[in-house]
Amino acid sequence: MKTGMKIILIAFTCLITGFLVYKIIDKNARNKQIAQNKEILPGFSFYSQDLKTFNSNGVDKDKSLCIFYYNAECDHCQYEAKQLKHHIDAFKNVQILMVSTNKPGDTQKFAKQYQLADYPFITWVYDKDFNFYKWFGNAVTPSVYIYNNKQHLVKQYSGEVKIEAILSHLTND
Amino acid sequence: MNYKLKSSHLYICLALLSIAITLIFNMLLVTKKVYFNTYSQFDNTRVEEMFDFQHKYIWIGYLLIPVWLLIKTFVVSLTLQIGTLIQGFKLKFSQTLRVALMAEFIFILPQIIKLFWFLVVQKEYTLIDLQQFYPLSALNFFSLKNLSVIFIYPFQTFNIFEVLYWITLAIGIRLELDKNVDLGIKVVFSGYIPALFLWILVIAFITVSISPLN
Repeated sequence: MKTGMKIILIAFTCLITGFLVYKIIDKNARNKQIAQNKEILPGFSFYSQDLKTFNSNGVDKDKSLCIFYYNAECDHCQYEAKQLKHHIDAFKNVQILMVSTNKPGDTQKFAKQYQLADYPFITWVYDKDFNFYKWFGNAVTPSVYIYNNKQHLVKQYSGEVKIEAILSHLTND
Repeated sequence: MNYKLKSSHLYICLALLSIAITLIFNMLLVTKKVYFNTYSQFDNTRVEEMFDFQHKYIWIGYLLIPVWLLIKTFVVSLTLQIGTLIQGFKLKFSQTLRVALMAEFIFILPQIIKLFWFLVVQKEYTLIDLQQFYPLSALNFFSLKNLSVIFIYPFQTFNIFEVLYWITLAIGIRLELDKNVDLGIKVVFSGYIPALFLWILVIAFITVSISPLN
């Protein structure tokens, strides 16, 4: 191989390596910062179903908060919704925030299908701009974040979780 | 082993051996009990459903093994081609492919050790333990609880068998070129190892970008 080609190959490899290393360090630092920030309920901003801004100020600060990040199409989320309906009485003194990137029409259909539409303690919000990760980090659907009434993160679940496990962390201190 | 064995024979032998080990691994180690150990946050009925579902489609995994081996050895062969060109030599693609296929047999060893480990030594485990354990690797020096998820794959990859694999590749290149082993080592270090390093970085990048665990 000619020397010129060798130099191009080495330079190209170094360039990709440098780019990846920079990105990994940067993203890792951001993930750590988000993990630290979400220990206390972060100042998020989503949309209500009528497309008005819904931010963290809309949360009742005296109650425990349970954030479900879901997608109406996901099988595990549908199971979680069924289980939530089944145990709904246990959540009466808790605020539930259902966050999804689903459009309002799909959310309405989902809420009706699983008979969760008419509970005053359930708020359905729309992550229109796909910003959830900025406040809660990389997340799969479903994910559950449990905050106590002092807005401290008590427990986080990634993936499907039985409702009994969530309830065991929902105590107002 | 006769290194002049046909690539197709090596490939079939390697694929059958890999499928056989995976089959034994799944039959003996991936039991319903392990599913319950792993998914304690799930409802029991859901764990049963998941186990049944994954066992129904487990054959797809066996079909993918030969495909994965083909892609992997093809890419390794390509990196060896680059290495030989950088060192100023030429080999046919079929020659480097044969070297890559021969060396791939090394990775059967950690699978057998892993099987033995979970059957005899560590009898209580989860699916995550099965995924993360790699015998004689750098990962064995760290506690997984304190380790960031982005380091798991790089530490798994840096293991005794990987080093043996490099040596086998170097010997294979030496035999194909009919030169000394130093040249084989130079080919591996200028072709395969930079590509492996890039691959590890790509995996680390994907992990840091999508994993909810970091």
